[in-house]
Amino acid sequence: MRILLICGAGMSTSLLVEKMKKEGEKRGMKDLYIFAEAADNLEKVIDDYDVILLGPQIRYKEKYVSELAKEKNKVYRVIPPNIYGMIDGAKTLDLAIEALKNK
Amino acid sequence: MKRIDKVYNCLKKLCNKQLAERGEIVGVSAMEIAQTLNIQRTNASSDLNILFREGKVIKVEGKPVLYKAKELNMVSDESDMVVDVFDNIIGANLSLKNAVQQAKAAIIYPPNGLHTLLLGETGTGKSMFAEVMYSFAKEIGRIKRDAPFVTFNCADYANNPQLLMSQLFGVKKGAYTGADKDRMGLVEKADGGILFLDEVHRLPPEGQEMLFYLIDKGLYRRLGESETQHKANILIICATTENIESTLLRTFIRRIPMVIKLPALAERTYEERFELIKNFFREEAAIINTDIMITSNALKALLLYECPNNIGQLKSDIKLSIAKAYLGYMIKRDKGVCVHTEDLPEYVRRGLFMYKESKDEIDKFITGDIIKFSADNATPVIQQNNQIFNFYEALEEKRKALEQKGLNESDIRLIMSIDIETYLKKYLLNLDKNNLEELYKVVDKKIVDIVNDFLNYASKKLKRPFSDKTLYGLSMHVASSVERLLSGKDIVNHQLENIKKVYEKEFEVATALREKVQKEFNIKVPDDEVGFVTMFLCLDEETKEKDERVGIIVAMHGEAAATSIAEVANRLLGENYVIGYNMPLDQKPEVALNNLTNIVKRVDKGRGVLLLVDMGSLVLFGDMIYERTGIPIKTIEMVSTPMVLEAARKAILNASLEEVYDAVVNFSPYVGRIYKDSFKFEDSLKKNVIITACITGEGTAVKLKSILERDLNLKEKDIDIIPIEVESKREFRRKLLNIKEEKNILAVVSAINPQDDSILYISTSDVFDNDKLSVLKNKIETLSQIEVIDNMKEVIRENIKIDSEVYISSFKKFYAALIREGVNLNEDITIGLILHLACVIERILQGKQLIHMKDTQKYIKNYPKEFDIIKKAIRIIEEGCNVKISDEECVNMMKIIYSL
Repeated sequence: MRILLICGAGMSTSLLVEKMKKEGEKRGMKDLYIFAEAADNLEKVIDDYDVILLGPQIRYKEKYVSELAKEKNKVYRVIPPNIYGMIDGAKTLDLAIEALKNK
Repeated sequence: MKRIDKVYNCLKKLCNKQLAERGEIVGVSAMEIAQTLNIQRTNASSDLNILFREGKVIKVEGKPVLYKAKELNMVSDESDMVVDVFDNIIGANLSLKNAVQQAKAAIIYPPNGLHTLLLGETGTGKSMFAEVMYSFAKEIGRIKRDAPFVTFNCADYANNPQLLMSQLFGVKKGAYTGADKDRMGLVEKADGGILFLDEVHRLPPEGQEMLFYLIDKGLYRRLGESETQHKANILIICATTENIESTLLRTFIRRIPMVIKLPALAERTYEERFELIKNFFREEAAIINTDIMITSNALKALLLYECPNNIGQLKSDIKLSIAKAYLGYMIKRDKGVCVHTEDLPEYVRRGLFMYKESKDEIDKFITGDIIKFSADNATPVIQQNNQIFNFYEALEEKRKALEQKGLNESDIRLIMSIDIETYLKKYLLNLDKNNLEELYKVVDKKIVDIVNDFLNYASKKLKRPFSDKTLYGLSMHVASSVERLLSGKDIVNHQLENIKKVYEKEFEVATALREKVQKEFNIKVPDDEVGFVTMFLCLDEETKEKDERVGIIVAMHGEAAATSIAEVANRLLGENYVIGYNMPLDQKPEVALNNLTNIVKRVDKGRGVLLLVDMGSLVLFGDMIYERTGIPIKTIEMVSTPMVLEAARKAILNASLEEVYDAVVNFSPYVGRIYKDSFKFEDSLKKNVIITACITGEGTAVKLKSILERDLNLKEKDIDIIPIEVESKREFRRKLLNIKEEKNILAVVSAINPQDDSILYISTSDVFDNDKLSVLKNKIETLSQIEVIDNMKEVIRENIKIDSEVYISSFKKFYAALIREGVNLNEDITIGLILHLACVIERILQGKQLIHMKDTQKYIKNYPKEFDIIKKAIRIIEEGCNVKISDEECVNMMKIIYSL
């Protein structure tokens, strides 16, 4: 599973990426690839991923992301502020898994 | 033993003494009792009157009025012994004889008395009769001495059956949305006593069913209860004006064994009617504290005219004619207050046409060309003096009530300090202009002299005159303080600190009185008392007297409601005084507001305007008009014709706006009750509060409170709203200072701008303007986010290697700086920003590389203002965390903050 996290500059999101990776290892998930990018680069890299997760601070880009995801046949979710704020890797991972399942 | 019990015992003793010495009881005057017990005559007199109303003593009219105790533990004059409360009713031995006998039978009937239905036209005295039945039941011991008497007017909630039922039977928690706790109903409150249901024909079917169940089984359920039933042992007295043949009443009569019919005024004897007239004249004489005269022709008219609304109408017709006579006295037509035929409404005058037919029966009451009625000693004026002596007791009672509610000390102090002023003002208002002789009767002359000297001194120092009212009020106040201090009780003034601050000069002047009192009575007077004296000095400044009258405006929804009420009032007054304003349902509030503003401007003669309205947005207009025009306005909600009449009557008597307002509020128990109920503070005040303040009466402040609570969704937000009533800007600021000490004031919503830069001010009219209100909304939002920021402390400590304590505290300041610049930050953005900035600082401190951005310069150029705001605010972080943050990083943050 390939997950892309999007935030403004990709700075705080990288924290969350680390936590998600650890959680993935704990669960024994293989083929887990998680990466953080700035929102501006989304169009360039979207093809490489299955699930797009948006940081709550760029919720205002949701419309743009949802159109792009639809066009590319990808799923996306906005990370709820409480999960994001707690840097909760496990719940963010669950969110990605759920999104893919409901594709 | 309470004072009243001592008075009662003393009276019994003196009566027994008379019986032993003279073989008969002639009665005892209030003065004798006062001297025997060494208490104030006014206090003795007021206690005796209470005992009289309770039916324990008999009054012998005359000068002075004499009192006899009813129970003397020994046989005395036979005729005195059979007297009971019913005998005080005018006509008890004449046309009411039958009714009285029935009523006694109903109460005496074993084991618990009989439920009773009172029939009678409007104004025949049904409520009064029910109260006498209650007193009788207490007197004969059918119910306990402290048994409740609960009155409920079924018409009040007739169009809202659910509310009516909940009022009557109580509510179980969760019965409907908003029923957040079990609530007691009136039935429960009346347990062990009497429940009086007025206008019972207005009871909706649901209520009838439950009432019948209660009558048949003595059981009832609260709203929302299905399992439990409660037992209530109550005697029910219903009253109705309806014809006994109506459907509802027929089902009623099956269950209510006793039906008592009260005769219409026309069915009663002239003798009774004369007694009634005499009684009303005396009452009024007591109120205005002057003898009232009436010409023989006017008295004839009053005895004879057709009076379809019975005693109630007779009473209001008399009141109105006296009001007009008083006016004649004021403009020096007469030497005293004398009612002439021209003071009577036209339909009353027509009574004279019937004189010839009834000449023989009438003439025995006409004892001369002019008949004089004097106030007897049972004057309300005396009772008011009494209230002033209880000033501290009133405060202490309030305090006790708050303590019982479990409020903490700081909240109690806060509420008390808001209330003190209101109390003071009430007492000062209650004072009528007595002459000095009257004052000497209740206050030691020594004190009056001291106060008089002091006021002369103060008026020189402060360069403003003080009215007689201040002399009377302050003298009585000082008398009670001295008494209190001599008896070793202390005096607490919760406003002291702020009084010292706001009324610095007056406080300094007030200390002069302290020195005199200390020297004269050899007691130590605390600063707190000086604070009270200061308040007296300042009250006067705000209640300047003018000669013009208060304007009365009635504004109601609908095509004709307001004008027709105004017309009724004007016709009864015989003067075009009240102005009605109809607001058709489709009229826009702004249009109505403009029209009303113009009317207020026209009506105001410098003494303000009383606005009587029905409901809805009209309640808030008073404040908005005040804001536009600066004309003092008070608003009263749920207007009715009697309220308008009372207001106009008071206004014509030259009463001040406050007096007119108080008179109407006291006149209608429902108005007061509703406001007071919603005026309660919750269990304890939250830290953050919003103040709603109104000059137009508490009702508006409470209304504003409910609007704000709804629009700002405050219930979940840990913010309380405190509604307060203010009179002037200075007083307002002092109250705010007071609250500020204990609470964080988020905003003040009011027509008066407190002009305090540290407080967000929102004017009453802006409450409906979403843009203006959004400033407050943002502030509240910000507040809840401070909590969010605090919660992030742990997360950052665990995940990011920086000093989270230092970081969070500087972030809060950074955040506040942004808010001050009008930046709008929601929770999403705040969280993103906190984490982002933390990461940035971590990287800088560890010397790691930051993520580079293209277009930095482009953003700085395109958004210079935004960039500037952030650049400035970020200095707080730079200093707090000891880092240097580059322009590039500022642009990054700008993109997050402004969602670019």
